[in-house]
Amino acid sequence: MAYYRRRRARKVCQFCVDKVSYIDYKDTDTLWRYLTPQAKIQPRRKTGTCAKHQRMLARAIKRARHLALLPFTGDHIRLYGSGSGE
Amino acid sequence: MSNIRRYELYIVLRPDLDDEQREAFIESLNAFVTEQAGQIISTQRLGKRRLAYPIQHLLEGYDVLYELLLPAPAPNAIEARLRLNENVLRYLLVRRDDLPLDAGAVEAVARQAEEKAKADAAAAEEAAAAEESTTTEDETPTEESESAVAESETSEE
Repeated sequence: MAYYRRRRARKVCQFCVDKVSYIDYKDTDTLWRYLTPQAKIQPRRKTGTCAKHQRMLARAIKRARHLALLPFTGDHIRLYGSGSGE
Repeated sequence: MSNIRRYELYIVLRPDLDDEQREAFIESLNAFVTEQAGQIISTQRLGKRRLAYPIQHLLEGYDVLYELLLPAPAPNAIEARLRLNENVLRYLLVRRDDLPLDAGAVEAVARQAEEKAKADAAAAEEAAAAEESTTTEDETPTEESESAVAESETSEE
């Protein structure tokens, strides 16, 4: 009893629900949803994305970063540092 | 041959170009794509946009989006050209195999690509011929000296 933990409801991949076959690097509004506040790519365990779509998503985000459609880091880190180091 | 594919080309140009310079760039790129036997499906000027991070201390970029139908060697040539252009801050040329191909257009591109390959081969042959004529000129004196050596050998016998 003491060890009982409620199972969280299993997340489903949003891209699978929408039957997405290609994740567009230009669609920054969607891509933003899969970034942390530091602009890192969120892990699957947090978003529930399936492996296949996570790969497509990662590729799209990296392409978007190259074109400066998305940041590599959040502005607050780039401008003021991450707090570690100097 | 199925070496013709759909591509998407996204270019981020400097924001400080005036309309004339920008159109000149787009015009010359269009001409280059045609020269490479490719076909332009669509061109979109997405306009000025704030960059997510500064590039070359610039905070804005001007985006242009192409949809292309290209034969095999053309993507390399196009990338090489964009890499050398200072007005291009960033470019991305990616295959879009998920989009349908228009059979008629593919055939037209294939025909043009074949013609271009023929023309290139002819030009290469011509260049090789020109090269050969210069090398033979260089070789003539050595041949003469060789024959002279041969003559001296025979005279010794």
